[in-house]
Amino acid sequence: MRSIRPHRCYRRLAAPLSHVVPCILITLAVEILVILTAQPLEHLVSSVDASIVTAAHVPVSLGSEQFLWLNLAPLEFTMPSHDYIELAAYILVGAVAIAVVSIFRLFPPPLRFFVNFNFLIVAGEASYLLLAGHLGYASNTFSTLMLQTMTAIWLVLPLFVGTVTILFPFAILMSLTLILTSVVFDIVLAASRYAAFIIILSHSGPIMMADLYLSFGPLLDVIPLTGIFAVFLGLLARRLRHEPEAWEWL
Amino acid sequence: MLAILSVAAFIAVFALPLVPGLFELARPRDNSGLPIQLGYSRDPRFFSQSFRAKIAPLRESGSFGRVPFLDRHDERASLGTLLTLAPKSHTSHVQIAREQLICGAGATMTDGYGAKSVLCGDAVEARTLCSDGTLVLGNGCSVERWVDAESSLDVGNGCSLGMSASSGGVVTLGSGVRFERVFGERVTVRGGVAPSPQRVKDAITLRESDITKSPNVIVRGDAVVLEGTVLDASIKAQGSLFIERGVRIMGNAVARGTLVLLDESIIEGHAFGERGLFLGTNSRIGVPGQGKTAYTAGRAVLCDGATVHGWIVSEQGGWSA
Amino acid sequence: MVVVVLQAYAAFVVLVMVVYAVRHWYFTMNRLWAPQRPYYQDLYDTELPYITVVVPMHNEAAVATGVIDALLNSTYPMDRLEILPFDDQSHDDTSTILHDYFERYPLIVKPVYMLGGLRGKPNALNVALHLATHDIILVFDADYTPGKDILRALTMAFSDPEVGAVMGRVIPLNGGKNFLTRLLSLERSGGYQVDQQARYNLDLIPQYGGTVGGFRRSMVTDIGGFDLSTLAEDTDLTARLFIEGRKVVYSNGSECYEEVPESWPARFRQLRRWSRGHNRAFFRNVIGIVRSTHLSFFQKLDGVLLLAVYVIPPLLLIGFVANAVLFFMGALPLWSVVAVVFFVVAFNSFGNFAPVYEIGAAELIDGAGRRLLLLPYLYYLFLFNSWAVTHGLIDTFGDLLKQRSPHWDKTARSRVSNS
Repeated sequence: MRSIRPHRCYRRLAAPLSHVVPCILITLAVEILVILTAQPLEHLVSSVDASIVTAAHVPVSLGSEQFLWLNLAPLEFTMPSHDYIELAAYILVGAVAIAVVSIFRLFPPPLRFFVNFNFLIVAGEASYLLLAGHLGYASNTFSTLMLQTMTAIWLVLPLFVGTVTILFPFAILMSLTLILTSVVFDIVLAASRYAAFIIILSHSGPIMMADLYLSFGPLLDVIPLTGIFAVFLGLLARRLRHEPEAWEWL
Repeated sequence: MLAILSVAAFIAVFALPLVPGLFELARPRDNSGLPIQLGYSRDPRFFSQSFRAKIAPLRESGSFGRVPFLDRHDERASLGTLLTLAPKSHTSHVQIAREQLICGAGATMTDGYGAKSVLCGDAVEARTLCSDGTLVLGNGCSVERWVDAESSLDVGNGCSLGMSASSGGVVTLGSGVRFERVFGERVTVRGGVAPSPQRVKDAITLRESDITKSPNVIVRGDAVVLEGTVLDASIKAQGSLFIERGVRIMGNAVARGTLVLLDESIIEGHAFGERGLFLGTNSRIGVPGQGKTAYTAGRAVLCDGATVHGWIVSEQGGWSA
Repeated sequence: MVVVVLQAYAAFVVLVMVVYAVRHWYFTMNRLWAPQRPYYQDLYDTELPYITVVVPMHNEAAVATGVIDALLNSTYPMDRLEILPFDDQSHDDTSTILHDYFERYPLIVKPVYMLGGLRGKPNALNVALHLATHDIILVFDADYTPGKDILRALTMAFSDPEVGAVMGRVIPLNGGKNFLTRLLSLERSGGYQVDQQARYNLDLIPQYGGTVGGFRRSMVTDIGGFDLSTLAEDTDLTARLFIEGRKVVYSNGSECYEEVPESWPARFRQLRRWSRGHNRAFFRNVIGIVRSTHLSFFQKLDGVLLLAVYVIPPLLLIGFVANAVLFFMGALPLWSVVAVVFFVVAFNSFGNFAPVYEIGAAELIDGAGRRLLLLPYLYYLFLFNSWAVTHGLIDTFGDLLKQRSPHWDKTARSRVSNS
């Protein structure tokens, strides 16, 4: 009977077939569940967000858009427009802000780069608005884009999380919990983001649209999802620590 | 107000999964570097040397009879000059004999040590066995962990040697002995014959006239070294390496597949067969007085008279024919 | 037309992301599930080969005694060991320290004093090719602490006649120092424990890292020695060895402590330097890798992907700009966004280039616990890393256009002494 914990350079964490097959089935099951509930989920999110946004004194109405086999209900709202003086001010402020942040090193470098990145997007958008007169996305098309992005991510998410989960020897219940938690979390995150963005844009106008979507939008989802994954990995690590007792005279 | 709350809610939801990490950053509980044993040095006889060091105080104490063992509350040791276990007896005490330990046939025990010798009859089962002199295992003995003898280790037919069998001198294996690692100045098989693996049909054949004297030979695929070839270099096959009778390789032989060394052939350096290792009758690895290694991550088969000067490592278990 | 071009570029970036993400997923699966390819450390040998250990030094008075003492304390037979510490135009007491060792161990420690000429590791290594007595040369950086058995473990790789170089595993000694070092420690573990090991398992292209490793002098001389025009002579050597049909092997059990940068500026400079050197190696060797007759299709693919790791971040940044412009124009493709959401996970780190699931796997294997909770913070480095790597790529273009050799700028040491 081998009772020596192998050195880490030899160690493996092979997931047995009794884990892999259920994990695949769980992934497919959650995926099917998401597909089947995508329509009611989407309507629920739209309705709840509409209520929140309305309660925040932003007039909205529910539209209708076809996306894949789903009938989306994007929130239709209005945004204030910008005149050229405003846009020029945004460009100037953005440039100055980048310069100030860079020269005075107001934040640690990673944060500094992120702050500058956002100023750059805003200034870039202002420049585009100044030159083109309008953005490619209006409020309603942006709203539709948000909903489409959100829905597309929900539809793919179980497969993605399942593909990563299958690598690790999670217990079956843990795999199921991880995938479901990721999906539910992303739904809640997307819903709260959607409402927040509508509220912000209804006050700020289109100038913040690109920055919100590209910097704070769905592209950031991977960060909290990794956080959830990390929590579950931590639980797995705790379980794996209970190894057989080593030979005592080593 | 609700607008602000809504934005705050989004930020809070986003940040929620990051909070456990924040706790770890604020109060680090797992930030020490990975431990590296800087003082570690590979020793094929590590287990037994460690065990000898631990029992040295007991051995030199002059005590007799049953005594506590290494401060363990669940284990005791029996100390004496000559210790004998009756056939088919069972003891859970660690046996420490200042001269000789004799285990009758069929006896079962945990750890045993004999300063001058350890003699085991047939079918003895032990956790570990150690001797500063000679150690003899009868047929069918089973050692769960390791066995070591300072001067010589003689293993009967059909024994099972656990994770490690070693000696500062000669190790002789009977037929049908199962092992993982065996180390000795000379490890020899006194066993039978096993059929060798078949050579691969499309292997590249090498004969002495094909091989220039150094540099080393590297074959991209399977290779056969023909009978009687003498190679004053190392050889590697990215597939399997089949060495026919009477070949002498003065360097190392490495195969990504199986390494087969037929009768009377010699590899004076290391033999490394990733998938498997077969040492034919009277084949040899290494040179007397120099320790080399016959290694496989697969299974090793040793035929009668096969000799290794040094270490045999067979990760998935080997046996003597 | 503009939209079509930008969307095509976005598609290209997405394709690159998918390829890397899938590659690393496969590596993670291989490391966790598959039998690990054996290394040569289990080869016991009473007649170990003669070796030379090279330790390049520039102003290393604070750490020099540590590395040389560690080498002298190794279990490697002293009569088969030669240590060549290179004093590369130091201004501190490095030369005095080395001379003292020479006086005490004249047959083993043979300092080389570089009084002028091109400073930097590649040049020192080229000089070592001429001065070393033995064919097997191991290299350690001055701030490393090699263990007793590591010289033997690394040397055993050369029992295989096909091996041209060997690389061990570096482990940060100061990984717990601050937020940055904790993240870098995670990166390192993923890069070595999973990525390098998987590439070794799969007989792809494990990389020689220039320290805690070694090479066969004859093979390196055959391929022309070290390239003086690059800051990443290790990557360049790896590529050229594989092109010529030699192997680089990875020894996961040959572990050695190193220091990671403790400040953001130091990390930026380090990453910029790596990018500059690595990209130079990319431009020099990518065609050779593709055309080599000694490599299989998957080895070539892995070789290209390996060489291109520091080309990708600038492409990603341009991709973000392209997506921004597409957004302004109202033509952002949804599939691009969704793909980026998931596959950007392949690029959470650029030092050792390991996605979060690789790092998670590595940390589990290493027995980690709560440090796993820091995985999402790796994305904090994304823009910072991308920007540093982009600077390095720009430097590379400058080097190529102006035919200049870069100035060697070593990473600042944090350790004050050897204690």
